[in-house]
Amino acid sequence: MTTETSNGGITVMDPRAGALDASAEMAPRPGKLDGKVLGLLSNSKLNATELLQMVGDMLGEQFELKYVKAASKPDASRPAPEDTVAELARESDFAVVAIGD
Amino acid sequence: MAEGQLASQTFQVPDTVEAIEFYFEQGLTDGLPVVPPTPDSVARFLDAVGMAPGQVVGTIPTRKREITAEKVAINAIMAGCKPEYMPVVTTAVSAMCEEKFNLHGTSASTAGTGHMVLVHGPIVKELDINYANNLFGPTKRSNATIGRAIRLIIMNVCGSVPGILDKSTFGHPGKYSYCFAENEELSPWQPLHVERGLPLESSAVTVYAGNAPIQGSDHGSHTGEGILNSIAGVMVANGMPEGGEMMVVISPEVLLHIREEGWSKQDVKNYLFEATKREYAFWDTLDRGWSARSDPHEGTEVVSVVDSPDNLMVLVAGGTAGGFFCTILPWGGGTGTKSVTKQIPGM
Repeated sequence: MTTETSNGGITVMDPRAGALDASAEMAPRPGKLDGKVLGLLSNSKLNATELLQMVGDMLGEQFELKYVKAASKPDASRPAPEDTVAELARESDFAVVAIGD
Repeated sequence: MAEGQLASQTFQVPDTVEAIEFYFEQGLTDGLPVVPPTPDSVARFLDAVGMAPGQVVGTIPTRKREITAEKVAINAIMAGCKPEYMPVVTTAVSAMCEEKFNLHGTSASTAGTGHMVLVHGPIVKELDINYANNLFGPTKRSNATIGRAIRLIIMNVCGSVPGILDKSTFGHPGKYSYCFAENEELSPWQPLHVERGLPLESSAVTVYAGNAPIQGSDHGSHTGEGILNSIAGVMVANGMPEGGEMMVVISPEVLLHIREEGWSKQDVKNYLFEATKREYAFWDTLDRGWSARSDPHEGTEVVSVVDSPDNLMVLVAGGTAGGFFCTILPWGGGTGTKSVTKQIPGM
């Protein structure tokens, strides 16, 4: 572990760190949306819920959705609570997430 | 250095000047030149804190990132720290990684807060950390480089690169460095770390997601109440009662009447709590933030700028001349973050 290299230069170090696990698996695609349950997750910032509602309405016009399950994060700056995500995953066939600001 | 090999990638550069340019080109600085971190210097910095390179100092679960002692050392060197600053830097990182501080949110938000490191106890004098004249400005190496190390770690290790993950609308100058201490000798009150249960002789850090200091002045009052009313006015002019904390930094001159009249720190907090009460309609008209969320105070007649006197951090610092004080608001109204005080291990 030396600082000076053989050609008179110096060795310096990388200050960066990457994410521990950058890989993520895609969920299976839902196929046809008719008869499916749509989940909506708002980050609770201004207009996020309204934006989601609009997306839900548009999807409802195009497909025969079974019903819509809406949820929101209590704090926009933190991840959604695990039980909120688990409930949404259990009940919905597909979900849309919106960020308002 | 404790056991373990350095794991970071290395680069070969012709000389120190080229190394400085290399870090600029790689986008790894805050806009100022950095000290090139060599393996030898990293080992010295790890020795100074008795940590192995791979020791995890803190994590950000949201980003699936770990902050190892090696990365802390590399960034501290780049910031210009001395090896003996390492215990302060590692403790500050560890404190920022506590869940209630919310390092992810505070370092990504458009609100552009700084990450303040307030140092307490005997280590303040040992490291020559400024608590007096010009404490928020350019004075001491310790203030300048400890705070800078924190910023470089947030950028390089946590990934909050300005414009990418750090979406600050304005940011503020304290994001270059935001480190200072209380004037514990001059203050008639317990320092913050003692207030929070640590021994007086211990050394500690408090991390706080603080906006820029807002300076106010009072050169005319001759009573403690008069001074505190001036401070309350600045608190009301800028704050919003969203449940967060607020820091009030009182200069020695402003302290004079308060001390002469025998106010305890709790008296000061209680008075400011009462003096910052306004009718609900006053806050509602300002509309500084809570329209985006549920309003916690709806139906309340009178609301103070903080939910409780306990949410005020009051401390004495600054130069001896000048009737000035500063209020430092928390990130985003303070709903999503709380300050953390942590003892430096073994100190």
